[in-house]
Amino acid sequence: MMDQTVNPTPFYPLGHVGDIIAFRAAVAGWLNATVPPDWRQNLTGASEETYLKFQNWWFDQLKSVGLATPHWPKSWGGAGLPLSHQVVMIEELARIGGPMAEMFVVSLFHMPATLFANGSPAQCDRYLTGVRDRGEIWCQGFSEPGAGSDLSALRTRAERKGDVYVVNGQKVWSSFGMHADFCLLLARTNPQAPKKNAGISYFILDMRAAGVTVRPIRQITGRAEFTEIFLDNVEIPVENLIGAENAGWQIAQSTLAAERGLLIFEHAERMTHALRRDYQALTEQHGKPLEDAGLRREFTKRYAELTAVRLLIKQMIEQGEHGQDSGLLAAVIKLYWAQLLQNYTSLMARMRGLDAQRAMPLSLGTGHNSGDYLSDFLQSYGWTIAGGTNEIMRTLIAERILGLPR
Amino acid sequence: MTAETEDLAALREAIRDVLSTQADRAAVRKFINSTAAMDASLWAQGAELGWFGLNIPEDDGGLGLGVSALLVLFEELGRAVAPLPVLGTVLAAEAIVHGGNAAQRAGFLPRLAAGQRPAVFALPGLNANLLLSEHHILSGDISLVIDAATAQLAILPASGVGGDPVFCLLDLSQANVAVEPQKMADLTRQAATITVSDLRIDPSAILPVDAAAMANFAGLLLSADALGAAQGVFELTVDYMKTREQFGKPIGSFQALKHRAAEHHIALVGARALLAHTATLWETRHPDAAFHTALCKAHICEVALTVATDAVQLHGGIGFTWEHECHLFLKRIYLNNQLFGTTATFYDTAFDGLAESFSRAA
Repeated sequence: MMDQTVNPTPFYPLGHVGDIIAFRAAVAGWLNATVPPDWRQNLTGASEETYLKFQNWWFDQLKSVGLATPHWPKSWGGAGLPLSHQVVMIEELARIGGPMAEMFVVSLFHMPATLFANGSPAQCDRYLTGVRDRGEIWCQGFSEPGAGSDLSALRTRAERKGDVYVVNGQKVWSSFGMHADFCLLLARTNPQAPKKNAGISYFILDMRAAGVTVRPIRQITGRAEFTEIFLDNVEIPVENLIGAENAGWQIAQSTLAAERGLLIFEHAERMTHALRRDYQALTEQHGKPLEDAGLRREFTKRYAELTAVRLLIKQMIEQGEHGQDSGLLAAVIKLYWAQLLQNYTSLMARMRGLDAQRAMPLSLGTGHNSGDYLSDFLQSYGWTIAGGTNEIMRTLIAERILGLPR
Repeated sequence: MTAETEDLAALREAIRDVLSTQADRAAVRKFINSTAAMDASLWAQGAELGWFGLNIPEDDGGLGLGVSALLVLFEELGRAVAPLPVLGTVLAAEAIVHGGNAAQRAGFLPRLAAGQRPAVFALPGLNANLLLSEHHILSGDISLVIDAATAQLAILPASGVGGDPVFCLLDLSQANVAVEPQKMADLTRQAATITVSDLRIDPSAILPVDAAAMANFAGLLLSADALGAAQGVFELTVDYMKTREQFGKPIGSFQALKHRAAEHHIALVGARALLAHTATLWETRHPDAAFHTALCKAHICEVALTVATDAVQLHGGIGFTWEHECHLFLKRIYLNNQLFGTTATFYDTAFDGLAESFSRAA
């Protein structure tokens, strides 16, 4: 499947920019012609090797019609697609239940957001081109064993020696670090800075440099998507410093605000379709719609919340389109979504009864609707812990939105 | 979802303005401590501003501003815990708009819109024991009719021949009708028991009423009222958390408390989005409007009750006192939860509608 050469298709969505109906039809047509109907089965019980090949294949397919980097400006070889068209693209992808470019999230969102705002022209040229033309995979090296929610406590040390920084330390929770070509790395350059976050710098780390060791971490789902990265006297050339020395903390904020709600939007759209499929499957299974009143009402409540969060996401995307800062709304959505996802996947696992308790072969890259309901639930901690735990988000909302004292 | 239109924002501003003087803390307190069945000056003010006719078509003497405008009114009334028995009048008008004949529309709607004829509407239920004989003689009673203490006109459910439910339009000031006010736990609203003895009902006064649609419409207004009340009590609570000090710090600095406030905030933001969206579905007569309405009643009233329940707890001892207004919000939201159907029944209605919309789309 993934070794096939690209089938030439008559669909070219980028030829219809400006005509949203024709664009939608072209995206849908292209997806139907391109996404293998059995891709989920093929990735169930598959090896990491097979999954990597599949992700690369999917990226190439997207690239062949200019949809790998639709949101990048034209000056960097993107499609410069208006947000409204990106929304349509995501809606159609969710409708057909196509694959996510999961391994490319940092490559497509976090790295470019960081470099567009803070990178030198040479850095932009080298690394944006690398993703666009060669599908280079990036990971993120922010968290450490001693610096999770308190990221500014990070201790990985970078010391300037001539033309290089010598880096020592350990990073953790880096998704797909084992496949990554490069890493967005935060390290401490000034341990004497009066405030912890003032002594941090931002680097581009070549994952193939001497002294870099990557070890996968197996998660509660059984899958190993995360990695630890050990840095032992790794030399990073000074031209790989992003922005000024010790300005890393501010730059990291642009990384974290990278995806303007589009990722959550994609997940919420996928849940919308999953909810309908789940409803149909459960109805068929029981002969009539969800007999148990408690579970039925809980299901309906989750639908209300899904409706609400989709409305909020659309509101955030609209704000982004008008250039308004939607950082605080993004925090509300992150917390709302994380809890909804956990509650919904937990409900589905409970509704499936003993059936969902069987050990199932790992399903790679199928998001939160893999068909393994318990695993989907376990996977939901990825949203309640990563990218700001629910507790960190609550503190942020209470202090920054409600104005409660620190 | 789009932001509130300029017209609606202006309406909200105007209503909030009036309520900030006519239904401020002192005015609400004064009403509660009085023996009056309603705040006549607030009613007169509302009538003058056309509040009772916001959703009544212009041809029938209303302002014809639609459901969205009505929702703004109810949200603001809830936020102020305003003692204004408007729900009954609005529901009666809705029933007449859909089921009244030309003479009834002309005879009643302009006066309802102008606030000259406070009215009520009720649905069949355990509290309803009215019988309509085959000779159209109405007898029996119905209790806990919300807003009935001050009403002059009523549309009431009765059991017709063979037990079929019918709805009778009647004047409450007639000799064979008795209205016995019933105080409610919610101090801002009153109900009444209406007893009817052998009253002849003209066949034209038996209205065709879609009971399910009316339950839904009432549910929509009650969700807006509950959302406004929850917002109101939440704002009070957050303010209190900033000023109340214990252990030498504002209690809002304690993580266990601030995290609860954050949860309430996101729940209210979600509820507001759901309500605004549902209003849009109404305005566009979308087929999903009905089940979204049931979803609003169930979900928003549930969220509101959670917020109001915790508001008392977050206030501590002062929130437990009669003197503090926390309980006014809590009791009002509690009543909203129970009126015209419980959270569970509205979730069930919403589920059926959702299932239907799935099969429609399939």
